[in-house]
Amino acid sequence: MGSSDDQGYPVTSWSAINALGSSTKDFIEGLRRGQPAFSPVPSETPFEALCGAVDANLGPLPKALAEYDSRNSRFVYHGLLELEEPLAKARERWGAARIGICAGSSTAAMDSIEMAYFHHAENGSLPSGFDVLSDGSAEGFVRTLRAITRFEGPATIVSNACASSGKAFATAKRWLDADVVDAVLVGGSDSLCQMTLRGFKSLGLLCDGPSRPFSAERSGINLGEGAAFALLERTGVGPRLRGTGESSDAHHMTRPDPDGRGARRAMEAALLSAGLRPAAIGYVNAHGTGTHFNDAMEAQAIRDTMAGESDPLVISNKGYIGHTLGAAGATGAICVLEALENQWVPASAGAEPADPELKLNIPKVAVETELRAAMCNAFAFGGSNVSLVFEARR
Amino acid sequence: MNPIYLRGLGLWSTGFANPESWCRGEADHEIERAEAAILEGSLRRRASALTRVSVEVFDQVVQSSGVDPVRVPTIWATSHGEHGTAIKLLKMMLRGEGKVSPTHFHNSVHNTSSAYASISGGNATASTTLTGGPELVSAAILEAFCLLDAGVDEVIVVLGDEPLQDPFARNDMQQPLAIGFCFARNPDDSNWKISSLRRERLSGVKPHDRLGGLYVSAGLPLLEHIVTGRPGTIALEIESHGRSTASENQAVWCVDLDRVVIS
Repeated sequence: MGSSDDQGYPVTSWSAINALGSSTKDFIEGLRRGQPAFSPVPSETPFEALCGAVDANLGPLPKALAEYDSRNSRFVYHGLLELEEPLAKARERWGAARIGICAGSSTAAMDSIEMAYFHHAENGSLPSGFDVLSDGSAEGFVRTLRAITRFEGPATIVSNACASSGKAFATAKRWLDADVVDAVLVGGSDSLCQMTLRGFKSLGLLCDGPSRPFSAERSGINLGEGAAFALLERTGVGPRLRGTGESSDAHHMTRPDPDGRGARRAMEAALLSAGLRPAAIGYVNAHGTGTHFNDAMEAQAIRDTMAGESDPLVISNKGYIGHTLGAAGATGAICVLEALENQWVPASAGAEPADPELKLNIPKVAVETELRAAMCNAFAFGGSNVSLVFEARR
Repeated sequence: MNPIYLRGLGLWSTGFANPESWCRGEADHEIERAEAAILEGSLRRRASALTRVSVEVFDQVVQSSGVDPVRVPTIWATSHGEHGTAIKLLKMMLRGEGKVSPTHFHNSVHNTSSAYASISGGNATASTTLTGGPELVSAAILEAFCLLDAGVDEVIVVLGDEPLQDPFARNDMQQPLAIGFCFARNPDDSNWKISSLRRERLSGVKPHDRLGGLYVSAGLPLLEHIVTGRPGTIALEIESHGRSTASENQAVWCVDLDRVVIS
């Protein structure tokens, strides 16, 4: 069973929280200003770098949810607070049992695990009240989401590293296609932690200054953090999730297939699933990490997928907020949804001077343009790829 | 949803190298480490306990089902992921300059087992890794239902976890466990089908008594029913640590397991 006209599913509301601000409005205004939001990494980091940290006092979770309180769950709570009304309406419309939760996360509450581990190393005991199953795991994430939304349909966390929340859209669409649910809260959340900062540093993937995806002068990633959520419904008003495509590189744990074959397969599968030709795609929100290899691979994959039918605007939002890891796919999806709703594409921050070898149409400034459909990519360690195609409301 | 059909099974835990020995309760104390023979040499050397047991079970399921390991989509589920590798990284962060190993870092993601199997076997199809708590196993089976409903012919599901380590260790988690299933859209060569997955109030649902601390052990009753030839309605959740969602609304995810009747 598909949606009423088999043209995908409307995304009826969405929210995002990241380095550009603690609300969707802040995020979009930041994109419109074209101003990145990087700050120095936390002081305990044993090297200097920039990151996209959420710069807001989000406050602890309400008392009823106190056992789930963590930096990550605060992103989730405040991200969903913005959606309180649409989530309540969905509950009323479909019934709680027919609404699922499918979110993505890579590190979930690893910062809480770190704090507990370091506390134990210093004091010989875990912090008072610390429960690894609530405070430091995906279980806590699921329970937080259930407690906030009171949705009773299936609930799961996709954890394919940086493709996690992108793939959550694919799983959610399958639930709707199979008539398991009538609506799904989709999204993702990840918070900065020392493990990822030091890990990406050890791989030589962090840049010294601001990340500059698609620039001839790009030199790596800034890590970021945040959450992004979208409400997919069987029927309703909004841009539509038309197609999803997933693949694996089967190549290497951290290096993408240099020819971009896995990424291309995901994009082609998404177009096929959407029933759209490349010519319909006016904008690609790329994975665009700012590493030499990713951007070169992705550029080739985009060119090959579009096959001369389309020369879409291509941007990476990671030039604004850094790489939000498990939340990256959903955050990219919010960029696409906003673009389709308001018919504009942000500048690709930091891309100037654009790398001519990439042969991509990278906007230097925000562009008002007519968009029918747009694509969002997310790729991950292990060679996991996902591509999403959304279409503007008619 | 349409029924799905069982094509193959797998299980590995310390002392048990296949589903049958597990169901007989016959531990072989010489079985201490999963071979994970399908991994390339360098990947096998770097593989964690979780990756080894998960990949071993993937291979068992491939062998027992006869599916093409290069083309079959896969679903992997793990509650705690590469916990042991994460602990190694945390230890490194407390030493010297606090630098971490790049290999341990990239092997700390939850989809490491999936990636190792994909890279070693050349499987470039979609693979999804799920995580969560008591509902983890039902979510993985649901993903299988939905993929098959979408037109995929076969899918392999691998449920795997390793025990939490100090200082987070728990008494009820002592050994790694991986369980695997191959499900198909069509009944050919299948003796068993799962005709529905639903959330229902069930009486008498109890935690599994052998590995109750690992959420993936919620897949054991299904495996045991199949191996011992017992159809029925089977819960896919365990009440572990007193924290099952069942205690919140008295309903659990369950499946109906039936024999395939050849007409």
